[in-house]
Amino acid sequence: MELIVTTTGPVTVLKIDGRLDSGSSKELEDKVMGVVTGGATKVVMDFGGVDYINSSGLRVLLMAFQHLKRGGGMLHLCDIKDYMREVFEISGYNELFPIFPDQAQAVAGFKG
Amino acid sequence: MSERLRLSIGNDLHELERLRCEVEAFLERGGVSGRAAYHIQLALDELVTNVISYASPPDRPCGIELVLERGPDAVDMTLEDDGDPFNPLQAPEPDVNAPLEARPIGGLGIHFVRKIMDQLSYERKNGRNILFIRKKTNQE
Repeated sequence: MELIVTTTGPVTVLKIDGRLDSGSSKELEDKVMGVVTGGATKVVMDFGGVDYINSSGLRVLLMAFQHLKRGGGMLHLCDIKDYMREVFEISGYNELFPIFPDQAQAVAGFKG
Repeated sequence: MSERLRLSIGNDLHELERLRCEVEAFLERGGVSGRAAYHIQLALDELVTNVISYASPPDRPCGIELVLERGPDAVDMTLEDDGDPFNPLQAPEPDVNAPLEARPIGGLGIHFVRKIMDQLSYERKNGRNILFIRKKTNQE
């Protein structure tokens, strides 16, 4: 798994590549929690390069979201492959995280 | 069309990578791809992780046996272990409607398996947990 963090104005974008599974979830957790505890409040996670996610990967999203929420922040997701969308629906996460088709729309979603 | 894979899996989370590669090759040979392939990998990942993590105390590692069979319109999987009795079909459902800030972290793995597989059955026999699951492959 690779993770690239970029800042666009007030929005922090995490571009993730690879698999989010038990082998990578600890590394993902450390990096993501580093970003959200470091003061970022508007965070986008770009799943364009993610081809697999399991419950341990989803758990990291929930932890990040809960931390952001306490500080008045928000997490947007984008570019999730069609075949993976279902697990977000099954877990009910699609009702809770705004999910956008692409990164530009996910960033724009913080405005207004 | 009749592919078969039998795997013995050690009681170690490092085995998940070998499981993934073996299952990936099996699915390729059987012409299973896309959503069905992801669901099969996800279900086996979650189930085997649970067995390795919770089925037995560290001083008594349990043996795990997996058999996959490619039929004409489905993949049939049988997962056996000699750990403590555990029926995943009776595990409590997570509350997927709770507000996110109040959600417990965890408990989703078995829930996924129950939702994405087409058939599941469990029996405890001769001191072993035996879980049968079927994923239809003609619904792409």
